[in-house]
Amino acid sequence: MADGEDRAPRTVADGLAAVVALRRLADLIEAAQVDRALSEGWSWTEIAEALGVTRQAVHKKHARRVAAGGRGRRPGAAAAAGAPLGDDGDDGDDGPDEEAS
Amino acid sequence: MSDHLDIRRIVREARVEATAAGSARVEAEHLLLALSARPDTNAGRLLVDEGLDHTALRRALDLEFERSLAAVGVRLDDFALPQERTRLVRESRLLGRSVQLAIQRALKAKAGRGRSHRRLQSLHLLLALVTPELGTVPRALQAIGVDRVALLATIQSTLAQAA
Repeated sequence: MADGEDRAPRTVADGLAAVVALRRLADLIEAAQVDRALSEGWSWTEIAEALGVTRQAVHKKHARRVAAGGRGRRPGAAAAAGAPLGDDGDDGDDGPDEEAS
Repeated sequence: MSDHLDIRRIVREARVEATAAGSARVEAEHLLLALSARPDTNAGRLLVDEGLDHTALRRALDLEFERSLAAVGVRLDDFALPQERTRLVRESRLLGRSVQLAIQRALKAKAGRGRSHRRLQSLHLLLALVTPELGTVPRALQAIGVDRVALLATIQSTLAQAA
C-alpha cells in the first residue's frame, strides 16, 4: 500500500459487494490466464496443478470454451496446439495425460 | 395493450448478455440488460424513456464493478483482461439465485394486489428487478445516479395504467 490509502471498505454493503466483484474478477482472470497458458504450450495437467485443482475440473470448465474459438482468435495460438481440445468436457478425462511436457 | 412476457425467451436473451459480460452465471443484471434491449415491451420502452437504455445500463454495471473492486484497493486496469469478454466464458448456463428470486417476485407481482393480471407482463419482471435494495442492480443504478424509489413508482403507475 504505497499510497497509504485505507483499503477497508467503507460499509458492510461495500465490503460484500467487493466479494461479489472479486469472485467475478477471479473468473475473468482465470479464463484469460488459462488461454494464455495454452497458447504458450502448457498442458491441461500443468495448468490444473498450478491452479490447485484436478485436470478434470480445469478441462471441464475451459475446454469447450477454448475449443469454441477462444484460442483461435489469438495470433500464433495454433502453433501451440496439442492439448486435447475435445468437443465436450469429458474428452480424455479418464485416461493418462500424454501431452505433459 | 398486451405486454405478455415470454419468460423463456427473456432468460435466453439474458444468457446472451451474461456471456457477453464474461459471466459464467446469469444474474438479475443480465435480465435487466435483456429487458432494456426489448423496445417491443412496456418494460423496455420505460427503461429507454428513463434514460436507461442498454448502453447506459452496461456503463452502470461496469462502473459498479470498478467501484466495488476499488473498495478493497483492486484496480481492474491492473489485470490486462481482453476487451472482449465473450470468449472468457462458455455459454452461460447457470441461473444465479438473483434470477430465480426475480422470477419468483415477478410472478408474485402478477398475482398480487387488486386486479391481478392473467399473464406475466414485462413490467412485472422489471418491478421485480428494481425492487431489491441490495445487490448488483441497485448498486449499479446508484452508480449512475438513478433514484431507484422514483423508478419503482414509475413502474408501478405504468403497470396500473396497463391493467
